[in-house]
Amino acid sequence: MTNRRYGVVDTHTHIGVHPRVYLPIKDADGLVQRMDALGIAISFFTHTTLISDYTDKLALKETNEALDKYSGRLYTYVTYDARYSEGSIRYVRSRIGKRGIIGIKIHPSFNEISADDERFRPIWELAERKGIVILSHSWDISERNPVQKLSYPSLFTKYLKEYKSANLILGHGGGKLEGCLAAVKICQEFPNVYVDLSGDCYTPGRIEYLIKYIGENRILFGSDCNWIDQRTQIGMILSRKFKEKTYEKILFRNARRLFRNVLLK
Amino acid sequence: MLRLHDLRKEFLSSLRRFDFFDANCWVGNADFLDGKKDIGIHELKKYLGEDIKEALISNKRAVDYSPIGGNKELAKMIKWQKGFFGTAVLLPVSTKEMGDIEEYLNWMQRNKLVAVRIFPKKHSFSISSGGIEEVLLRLSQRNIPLILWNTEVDMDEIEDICINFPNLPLILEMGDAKIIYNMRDCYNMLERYDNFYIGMEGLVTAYLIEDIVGRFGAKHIIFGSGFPSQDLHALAMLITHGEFDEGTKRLLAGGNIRRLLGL
Repeated sequence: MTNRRYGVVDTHTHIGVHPRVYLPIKDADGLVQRMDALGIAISFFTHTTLISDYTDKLALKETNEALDKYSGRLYTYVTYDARYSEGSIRYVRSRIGKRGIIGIKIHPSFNEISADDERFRPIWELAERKGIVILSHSWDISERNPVQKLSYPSLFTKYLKEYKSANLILGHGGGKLEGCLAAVKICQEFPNVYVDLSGDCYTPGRIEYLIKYIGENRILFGSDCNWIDQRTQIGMILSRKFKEKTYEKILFRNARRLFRNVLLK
Repeated sequence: MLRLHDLRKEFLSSLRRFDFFDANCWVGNADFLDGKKDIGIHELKKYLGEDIKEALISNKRAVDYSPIGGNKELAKMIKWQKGFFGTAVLLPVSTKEMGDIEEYLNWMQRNKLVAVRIFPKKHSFSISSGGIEEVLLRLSQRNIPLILWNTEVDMDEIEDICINFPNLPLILEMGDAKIIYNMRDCYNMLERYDNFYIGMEGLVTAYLIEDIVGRFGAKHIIFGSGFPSQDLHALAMLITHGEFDEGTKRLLAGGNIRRLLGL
């Protein structure tokens, strides 16, 4: 589809399975096959199991094997679990700077701990000190899934005010409607906050709205593959009438700029 | 080097090539990021653009306020719109809100309302009650497809319908919760019941469409965007750039729903 020479960067993907959902693409081989089919040069992934258990040996092995086999194509976020903050921060510190590590992933909803809880503080200190990007799950408040409220965009305000130079990506851009509006408010207040387009958030006019209210330089292409198919976001992006440079910014230039310190290594 | 603009042109022209039919779009009030809007036929036509000429339309008012009133309003809206068809929201016969069911179905079909939706939870009735069984029987006799949301019925209830009414095409769509969590049951249904279909809105897991088509063939997948809650281009690219031959793409894009509706 796209030309790999473009260097399209998918900033939000997964490998691994989850017991609740059937996923036809399960591993790094499958992810890279889809990347090759669609002309995506690089993906940043998190192993789904590590979001729930950062010590899982099989998931760690699969992650390391993926980084070895697909060096330069796949990078990984090291996950921080706020439920086990002492052990987890030690682990995260040990991984920062290692080959293939692109940033830190947090998931307040999976952890069942609010994004503004004190147990997330160590990550913000580290992110600011080391210049590491944090990718966090962010979503709407949901009656059907009450833990989603723990990742509501406004909850990140507390740490964004204190750690002004730490870069944060609001994964899924806050979710569908209310969450997306909240994410936009956060981005307007804090210039170091980005949104990605990952997840099943296909509200018509979404991308135009984001560009209008936060600008085209802080929107990142992300898919949430293997949960979500990359073609859905690519279809949404390409269907809009933008200038060539806008497509480029969303699909790869913004990510390459944000992650330049790591990608160049 | 291929420009992204060229990819855009190629993608949009492929929408025309595969003759899409959007089987799941809605009129009525809708929430967008820049506020609430009332989507009418003109807005819908503008949204579908030059690329998609046919659609199966549903009326939010029939779900949220008045099934009978909403059906009547929709019939009026689509009457002179070539290529636009509608769904009617039905109720159990017990309270006679639709009058005589045969007459109501006749009225529906005269007015291009070619498929039916029911909402047992939103409209407070049991899907296994005699009152709705009567409706299902009549739909089955006329081969009128029934569309159900995954949040309105349990999979057991869906399976019962497929067993008891084997001539009734049943399309399961994503309602107010992600349908990707129903896939294990859906695969079981696809394997066993020729009258079971899945609406594409929500079938967005990576490579899921190829997986379903590979195992069960293409005929049970119905393209429908869910507009205005979803942009159709997000789903359409799963077909235009799917790993299928042209014939399969045409079936997915619109051939399947046209066959079901007898168009």
